[in-house]
Amino acid sequence: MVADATVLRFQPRPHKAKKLVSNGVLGMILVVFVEVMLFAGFISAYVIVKSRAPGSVWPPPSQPRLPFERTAVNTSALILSGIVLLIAHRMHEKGKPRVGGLLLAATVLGGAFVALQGIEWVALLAEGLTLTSSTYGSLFYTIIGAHAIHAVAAICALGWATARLRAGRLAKETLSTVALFWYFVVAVWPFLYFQVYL
Amino acid sequence: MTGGEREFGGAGPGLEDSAGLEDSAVGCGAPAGCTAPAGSGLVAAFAACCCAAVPLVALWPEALHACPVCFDRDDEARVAFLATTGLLTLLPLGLVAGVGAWLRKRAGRQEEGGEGVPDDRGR
Repeated sequence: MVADATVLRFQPRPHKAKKLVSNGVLGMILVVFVEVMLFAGFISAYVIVKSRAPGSVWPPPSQPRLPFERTAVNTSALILSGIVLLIAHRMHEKGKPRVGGLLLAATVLGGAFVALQGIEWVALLAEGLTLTSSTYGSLFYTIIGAHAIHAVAAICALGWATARLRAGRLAKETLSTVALFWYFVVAVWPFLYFQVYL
Repeated sequence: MTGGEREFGGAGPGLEDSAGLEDSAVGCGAPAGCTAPAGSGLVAAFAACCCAAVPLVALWPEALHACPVCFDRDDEARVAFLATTGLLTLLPLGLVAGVGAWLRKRAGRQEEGGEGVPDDRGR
């Protein structure tokens, strides 16, 4: 007697396409999209307020001038930090050693940028430029403050990545995700610097 | 079973219920027999409003003078409005195009024999 049997045909598992980008990098790209539009909105608001200044005098005569030359030092530190991180990122992707020192240097340079910005803010507050002193002051602290918050968040992420690297647990894609955010913080600064400080 | 209740797995709001929509096949105000997807009536209404606006603006162009992008008295402000409008319009398009081009390039490299990225979940 032959029992009825269902014949199951062998079907190989469908081919799984390779990922083009990791989940982390894709998520960070989306975050950077949002942040770029946020800063584009800030810059647009600043440009329009500036264009409507009474008598086309900007900054307002009663307000202190921003230290363009002194901030150039901060800007150099930030850009140098971005370059150092780029080198570290490339080296880590190729599996080269001694990336930890470069990552630490990028983090310290980023920290120096934020610290110098803090010193500059204290001086400006003492000179009378506050969040409520004028539209100029409120725009300055909103735009530059938003950038500083992003810089602090990125520095924390860089510090975390450095610690993981030292523990030997830093994946290439994780560093790419963190680095992408720092590249954004570095890349957006020159636009803010030349628009707000000049 | 009360009037408002339905048994699980029983006759839900299926095809027989949709037959009750006598005047509007898709529930969006479109006439019966319309095969357009839901929401297309709204799009059509918007398009009709836009079409109606064109002759109105042609007849009464003064209304357009309220637009600060084109008709600000101050040249500097007008340029600023135009520049920021352009920036905020083109920037997202440029970002999407840039990422699209980068992904295309990456896919091309992968097809040539490169490796895909490792899964980074849980790291």
